Amino acid sequence: MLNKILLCFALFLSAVSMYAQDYTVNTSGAKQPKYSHYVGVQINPLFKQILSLGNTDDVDNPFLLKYAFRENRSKREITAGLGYSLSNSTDQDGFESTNSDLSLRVGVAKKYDIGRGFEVGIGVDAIVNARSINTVNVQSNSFGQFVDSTITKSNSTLLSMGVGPQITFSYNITPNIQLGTEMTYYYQYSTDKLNVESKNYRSDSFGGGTVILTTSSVNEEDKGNMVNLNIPVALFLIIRF
Amino acid sequence: MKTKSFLVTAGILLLSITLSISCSKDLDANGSNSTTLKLDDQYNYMMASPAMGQLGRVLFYDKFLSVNNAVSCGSCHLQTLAFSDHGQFSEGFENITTNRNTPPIQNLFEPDQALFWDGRERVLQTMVMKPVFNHVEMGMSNATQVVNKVKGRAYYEELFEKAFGDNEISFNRIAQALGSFTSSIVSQDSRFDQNFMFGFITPDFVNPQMQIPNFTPIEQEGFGLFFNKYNCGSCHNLFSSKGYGDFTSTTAGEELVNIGLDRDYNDDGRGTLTGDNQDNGKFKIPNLRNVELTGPYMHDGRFSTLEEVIGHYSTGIEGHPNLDDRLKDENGKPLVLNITEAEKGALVAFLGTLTDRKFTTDPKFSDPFKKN
Repeated sequence: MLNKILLCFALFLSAVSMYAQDYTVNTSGAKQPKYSHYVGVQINPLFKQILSLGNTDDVDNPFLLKYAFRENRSKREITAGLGYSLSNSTDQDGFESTNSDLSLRVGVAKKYDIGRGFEVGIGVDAIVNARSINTVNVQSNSFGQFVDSTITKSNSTLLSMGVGPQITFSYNITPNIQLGTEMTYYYQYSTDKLNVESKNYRSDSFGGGTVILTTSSVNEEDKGNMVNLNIPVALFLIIRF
Repeated sequence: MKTKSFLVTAGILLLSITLSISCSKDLDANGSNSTTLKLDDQYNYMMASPAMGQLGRVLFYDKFLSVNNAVSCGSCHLQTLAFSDHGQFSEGFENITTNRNTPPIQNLFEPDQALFWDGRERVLQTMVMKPVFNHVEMGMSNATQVVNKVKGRAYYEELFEKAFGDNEISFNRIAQALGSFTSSIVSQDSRFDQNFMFGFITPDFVNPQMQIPNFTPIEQEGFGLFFNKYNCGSCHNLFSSKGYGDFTSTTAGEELVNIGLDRDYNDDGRGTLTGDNQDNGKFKIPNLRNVELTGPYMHDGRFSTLEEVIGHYSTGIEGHPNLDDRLKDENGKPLVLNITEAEKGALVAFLGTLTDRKFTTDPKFSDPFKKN
């Protein structure tokens, strides 16, 4: 599933880049590209690393990268965003957890100059978020003559899709570099699945070392709607080329 | 120019990908949690029979009460930290973090006190099962699932038999045992408590000039600042075991207050629960017993140290429509106490007298699953 989404995103980027080669002539006679690419990267994590802001609130905006393909005359854009995180940890009890989170969005937007190098934009996005968490846990408990060993594997996935408006605000540091932020309000439909498989081996040392194997599983599915408001705290460094 | 831009962009992309993919592997050589459950010792519990306390203790520390056997109540409520956690937020059964700081468990035996940061529960026996069903904390979905998991463990038959007289395992009995153990987690042997018990400190007579036994001069100074100059005791009633109000008060106005942490709260606390704007930003007054162990502080763990907390009351109180009257000056503005660094040191020293070391090492509250 994730591979397909990534492939679609790559195809989308390559398709729009084909149209960015045309040039037009503006009214002053200087050669100006008809289309421009904008690539933005969220810089909050970078600031957090540099300034060692350990206890600061995490920024909720999952999109680490964003891209816009702009028609310069009308300032209309096709936009996209990508965020991906992967973490894997094992604690001292041998509890292993792998967490991956992918967020994608595509949309359209229109930008407006408001003077002094500032620009606002308004647009609509379609968003997909896929999260997967896998855990593996091995426990062995001794009690009297019993020894219980249990291996538990869990997998939970959250897939949500939705739409919503986006408002952007950016400042042109140079003609090709902007600093921007955004506010989004996404209405999402989500499906949450949890699967837990457990195998229990019990040995009774007084009963001839009998080993009993029991298995149990939990399968749950929740569907629901959520509204996700991201206030403009994520900062993006945006490069035009 | 285009090449330069491309190189800059490529560099930023590479950096962001490096930042976004954070892999931390710390593999344990054994890769398993091998424990032995030893229940030979019998302890006396304040609010439960020895057998009931023992059963509750095992349930409290048993990871099988979570859906994937990953966490127990004791995973976030660590005895050495007065049954709080050292993180800003805690991690649940899938390592996803909760959205509020783990509050300590101590002195919850008094009936009808506000439980959780927003006071959503008042009955301890109901409260103890809430994290079990929380989708971030322990992830169980229903009572039958909990009962079946407990029934699946070899040691519970005997424990239920001893606690209840027969080996029937039911959801109500699980909640009762957990509630009994939790209400028995009592801290009352700090140096402050000892002085209170022997009458050196009384709620009616707090004389900063009086030399208190076992207090150093700086702790004595902090005592005077706490009860007199800065009147911290008007909210944090250290003479009440629950840490706020008097012995009988249960009204929400006295238990849940807005202390001006923000002008606009991300988490509205009590207000989120009731939907009433007048409750926005209100959280339960925490019990200051063992407070030096329970950081980080506040509902969102925003302050790492007690100095930072005192700093908030010194110059950081924000104006909020629901700001508690005790934190306003005569003009209704947020108090600016300008507490000096020396005074902060004295207050922190005094708060250290509220630490009960016996409580944090008492074997009757300890994890019965001993690591092999």
